[in-house]
Amino acid sequence: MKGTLLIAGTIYILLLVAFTMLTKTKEKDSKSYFLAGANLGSILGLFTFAATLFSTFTLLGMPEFFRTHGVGAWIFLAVSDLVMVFILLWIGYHLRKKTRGQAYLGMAGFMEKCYESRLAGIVAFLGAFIFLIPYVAIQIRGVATFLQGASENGLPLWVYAVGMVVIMLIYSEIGGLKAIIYSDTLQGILLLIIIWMIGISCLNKLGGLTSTFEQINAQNEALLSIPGPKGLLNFQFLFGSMVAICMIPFTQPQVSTRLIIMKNERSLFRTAIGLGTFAILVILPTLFIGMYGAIKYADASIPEFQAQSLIHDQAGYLGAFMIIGLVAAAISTADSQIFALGGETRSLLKGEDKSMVKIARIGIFIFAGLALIFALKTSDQLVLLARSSFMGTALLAPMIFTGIFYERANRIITLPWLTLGAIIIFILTELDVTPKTFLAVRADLILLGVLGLYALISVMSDKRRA
Amino acid sequence: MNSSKLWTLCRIVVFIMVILIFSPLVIPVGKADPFLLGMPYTLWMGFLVSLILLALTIIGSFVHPGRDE
Repeated sequence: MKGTLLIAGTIYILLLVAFTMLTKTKEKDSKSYFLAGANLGSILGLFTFAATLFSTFTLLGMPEFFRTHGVGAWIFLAVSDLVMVFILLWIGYHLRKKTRGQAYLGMAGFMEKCYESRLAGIVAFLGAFIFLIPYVAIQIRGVATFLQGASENGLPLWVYAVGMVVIMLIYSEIGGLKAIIYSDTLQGILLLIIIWMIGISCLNKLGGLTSTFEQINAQNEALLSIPGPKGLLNFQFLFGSMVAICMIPFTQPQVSTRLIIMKNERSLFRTAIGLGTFAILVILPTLFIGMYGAIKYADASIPEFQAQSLIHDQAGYLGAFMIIGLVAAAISTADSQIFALGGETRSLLKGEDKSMVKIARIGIFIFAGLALIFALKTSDQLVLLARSSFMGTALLAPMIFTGIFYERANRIITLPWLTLGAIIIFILTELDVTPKTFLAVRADLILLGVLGLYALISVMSDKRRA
Repeated sequence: MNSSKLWTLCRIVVFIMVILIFSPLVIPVGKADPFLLGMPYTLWMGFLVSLILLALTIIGSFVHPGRDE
């Protein structure tokens, strides 16, 4: 395995270097650096969307989620992603229409314009910052923990984490979004091929699909339906997750930026179809790996299950490819998120473009540093932490949608304040300071519902006044 | 039927699908039967729903009124 890992790893690094050199430009203005020239075709669009969305959370988190909570995890992620793709087509078109002719640099700047309020921009930035940093951190930690568990060289966790952040910073700082998009294409293809190789291998080891579920049925029947053995996948969890996931293209800047920079509507629509197909293809093998884990490693710890099923139980070359795939998955998502936070910073800054780009680039280093610190402190519950990140950013949705759909959003200046309040309450809930449920309803659903209702009533009453 | 009406129809069908996803038709609590091709009910129903949603996205992309903008 070591030989394969060395060769494949070298090829991977060389390709990243090649993409960085190819996309390196001396002139770094906001449009070329943060928006890659805003002329993205459907093929590159598909892979950069896919590599940004499907990450360590999918590769490491989803097999574990299937192993622990059973087949209902398909509804949690795959079905939610398919609804998200349709919404990308629907609301993505309106977002592009609204930003057409504007110098869009980030959602924060766009919100500032829509509401004619600095606060709206700051709330959009804060929401992205607070909930994306932990998300970036779990990518880094997930893979660092995995690498530590899979290798037997005794290196501490932080060495792997720092290594990934340094690679990511080098190519994104030099080549900007264009370098990230090219590397995403490589990483998206790698991710898909490798996860299928491992998935098929696991399925074969269990004797095929029918045999797999017969064994699960005999061992732990609760895995075959919702809410799963631990009762997590109930209506509220699944519904809340779907709502949060559907909001990602608009509330998470690394995705909304890609939506804006598509060449035209046709490219966006083709990308949406490709993304839906990619979602099914990338999540399906994680089901096989998860079921394999449920049978073979039902009582193992998370790192033990991951190291055994993804590396040690596989042929040497497969284990090596898996390590490369995981590093690629983590880097491709984390770099996009950190870079998007840089873009959001730029969209809020006013002044001479070159100087503002420089400040935003320094911001990228700071965000990466914060994510690294968080990665070393956070827990191993990848999927649940990712869901908190999705839900946290989803709280921005009523404010963003009002900005997109209502021409006179500037008259509803209370909405950004209310959104800020909801974000604070949500954080308190996550920290167990305030209760997670109220009258048996999840607090995150209540917050989102109140914000949505308030936005709707505000728009209707403003229309009536006008 | 013109493309605008077809697009509206697509959105309505997706809305109905979302309601059905959270009904016992797709996610019955604690029920694994009937199996199809060896897969438990919620899983194969989940696959079916995913494919229908993908088909609606494909149709939607062709009938979307802003396709040529």
